[in-house]
Amino acid sequence: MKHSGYNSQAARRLDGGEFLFDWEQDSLTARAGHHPVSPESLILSGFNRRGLSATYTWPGSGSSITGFAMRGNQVSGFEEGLGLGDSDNRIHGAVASVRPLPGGSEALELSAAYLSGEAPELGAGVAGDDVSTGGDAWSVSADGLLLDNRLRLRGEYARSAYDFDGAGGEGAERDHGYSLLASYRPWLDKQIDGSYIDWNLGAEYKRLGTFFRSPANPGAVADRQVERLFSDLVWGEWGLQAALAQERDNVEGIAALPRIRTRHGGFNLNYTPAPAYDAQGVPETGWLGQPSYSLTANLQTQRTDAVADPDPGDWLDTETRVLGFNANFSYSDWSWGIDHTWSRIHDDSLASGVPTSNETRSVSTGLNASFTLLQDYTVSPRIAWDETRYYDLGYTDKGLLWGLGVDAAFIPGELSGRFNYDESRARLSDGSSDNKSRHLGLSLSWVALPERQSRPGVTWVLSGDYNDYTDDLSSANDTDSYQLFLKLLIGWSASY
Amino acid sequence: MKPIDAKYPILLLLLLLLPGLARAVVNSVSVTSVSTSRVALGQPATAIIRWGVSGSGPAATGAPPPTIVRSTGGTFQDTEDAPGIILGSTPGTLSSTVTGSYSVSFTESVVIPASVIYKAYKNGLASFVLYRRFNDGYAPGTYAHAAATFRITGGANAGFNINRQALYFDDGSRLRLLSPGQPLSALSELRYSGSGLLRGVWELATPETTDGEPVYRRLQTVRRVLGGGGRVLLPSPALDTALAGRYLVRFRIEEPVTGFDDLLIEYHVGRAEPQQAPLDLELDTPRHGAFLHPDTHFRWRPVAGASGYRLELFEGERDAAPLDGLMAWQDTRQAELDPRRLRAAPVSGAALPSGQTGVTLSDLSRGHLQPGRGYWWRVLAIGADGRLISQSMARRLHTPANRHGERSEGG
Repeated sequence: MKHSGYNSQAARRLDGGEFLFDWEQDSLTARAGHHPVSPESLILSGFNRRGLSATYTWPGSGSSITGFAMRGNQVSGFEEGLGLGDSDNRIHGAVASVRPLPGGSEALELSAAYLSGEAPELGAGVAGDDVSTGGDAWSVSADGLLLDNRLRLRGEYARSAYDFDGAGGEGAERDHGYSLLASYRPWLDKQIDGSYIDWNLGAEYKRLGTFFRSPANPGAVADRQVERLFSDLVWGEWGLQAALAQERDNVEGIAALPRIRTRHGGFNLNYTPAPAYDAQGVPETGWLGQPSYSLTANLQTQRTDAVADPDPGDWLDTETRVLGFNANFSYSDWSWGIDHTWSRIHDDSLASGVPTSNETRSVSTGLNASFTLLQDYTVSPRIAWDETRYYDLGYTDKGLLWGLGVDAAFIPGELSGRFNYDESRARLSDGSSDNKSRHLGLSLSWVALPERQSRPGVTWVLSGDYNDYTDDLSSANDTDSYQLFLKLLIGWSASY
Repeated sequence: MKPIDAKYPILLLLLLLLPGLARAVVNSVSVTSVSTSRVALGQPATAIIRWGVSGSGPAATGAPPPTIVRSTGGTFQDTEDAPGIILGSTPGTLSSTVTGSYSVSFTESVVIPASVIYKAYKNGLASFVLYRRFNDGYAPGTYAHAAATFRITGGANAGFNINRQALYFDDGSRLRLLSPGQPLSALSELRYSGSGLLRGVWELATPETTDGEPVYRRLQTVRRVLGGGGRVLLPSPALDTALAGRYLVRFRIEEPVTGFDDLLIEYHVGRAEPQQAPLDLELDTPRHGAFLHPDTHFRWRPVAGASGYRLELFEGERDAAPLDGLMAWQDTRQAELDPRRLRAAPVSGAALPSGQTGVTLSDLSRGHLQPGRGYWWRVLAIGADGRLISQSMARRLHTPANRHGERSEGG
């Protein structure tokens, strides 16, 4: 059975969007509606919900305290009011930040957060486990800047008590997590060959317990110990970002679970040459226009560090390599871009002593362009193809996707049109699947009565589409359909 | 006394024996295949299970009547036979109409809640089963059963599964109202266990179809190798906002099979607002994410009809730490920003005449910026009547950690 109750917004005829009411007086701010709660921490991350919050900020000190009550899961439109009516779907808490140094200096910031509540992993734009679970969590952190703000040190400790089985008979499971971060900028205004070089390097250590979980950070990955080195270098037109990391799971050393060690390293190199300018300040472009390039590489290995007692024959041993390239070129009236990615998985794993089959090689390439013709016409072609070879299964999965879009202002401000055509084909090399789909869309808009301040505007829109799906193996699966609409739009902007 | 006609007892005996003579049963049930037998502690999992059911039809003369072979739900429990611990249930009914002797197979997608896996672990189990029993209409009181076994493991060693999907726009919202031409993209955040090749497609239904039956166009195919269990953020290509109307966007996961339907979010494009300047002013330098130095030169393309320009700098937050497992360059939340999302007033900037499309910030302007902070900067083009005629996207800028851009002995 699949969950399907969270796309109901697509069915309502009249609905609202997301809303936010702000009220501010002196040092007090109150909010009602969709808004995030900050700052981010191990227990609070990406927590943007509907609800209520109030913040008091001490003048001149930079310190603040926020209390909040938010709906546990995502909701949009007119449903659920302020979203706080369901006690099984509500998270409340408080966050305090203090800058203890004179003048509220950012050189040291201390934060504490506490929250409690429940939420299912279903909602507007979210799908996951439909069992409503929750618990309590708190965290404390210190974030400081030293050595003329070139060195940043941050530490955080958090605890959680989470009920994993919801209404089941088990109580809350307690666990903890912590993180340490250090980043350093060795140079401030150093130049090499006339270009500034800016370099930020750092290290991070993070450990989240097997059962560490916060209802306000549902996407977090628990049971993980991470050690990471990172570097971010910018030198003139060049940029280089790199990182090395090692992760281990089963941080509690539970004998019934294996311990897997994952190592990954990668870099991203990008180059965006600065243009030369003529006397009028207009960039001078050669045959490459205004280019930008990017090269990315990643290597990841996974090995079993310790087998699970119940499954001594299970052994994980994989290696993944990814290499990607991307280039974009822009000119005064047109642009184009190309991207290519290659990836390979090597798998020497065993399941109950038997080798598993998971080796693949994947290649994808894409090309896109956009042309502006006679100022009022834009043509946008695109094509992409991809291929995945499953070595152990003995077949290749191939796909081709191409399309063309045309936007036209036949009479600017009065008559405009749009055309788009897309075609995709997917097939397996062993002949077990081969299908093609086509989509054609057309739209024509005519402003019959332009909008004025004293009267509304009237626009007629004629639109339609045709779709065709063909299964080369079984014509019983073939479908085609079309739709045609004539719409009358009345619009009137009020301004005062 | 009239003798009893012998045929009636015989008929009665036959009627009594007929159910026995016509009796048929589900002979055997087996688990033909399971997509994943390893599930992660603390996370939900989805498994594709294929059940094979065979039975013998009634031994009656003539064509036997059709009947239904079914299973009305499954139970998560510790063992298949003589279960001692019930962990949960799955209510899905599997059924098929059969005639006579049969051999059918059922394929179902089962969501194993995290609470079931956790309960099994707390009861000291290293594995548990999904138990199903089948019967048919020929012998409704007789069942055959089978069970699919799942072993509890860690997130990195589990079968490749998408545990959670969150879909939102680049500003974190789930529903957007936009002006024509306003830039927009979406993000699909996935939490997964195990390792494997993710196959998915970004698709968009445009106003030509959303007034009736939405038809989704393929925008981009995604092939991404994921490993070690964790979280990944997948950006969409730039979404179409040229035409007014309702749009639906989704990231459809083709592999691995998930336990939830395709997730979608929607946005609406209204009419062009005359007071909104188009986002077509192009910036040159400094690049997005650059550092501010005393001689950093801000440069942009000239705009036809501009009588002046305004450079504005806005305070930004501390850089967000990348999500678990992501390399910094993969975190597309740090891309250029739609300036209409900048709500606060600018903290610094410069006003320039029409012929000037570049400037180096003065000491006074840089003095309003805090050291070691992140800022957003953008350029506005002002027309002869004082109205905004064009504006740029906002780019990120960082100030060095020394105060007021003073030169230091660093390096």
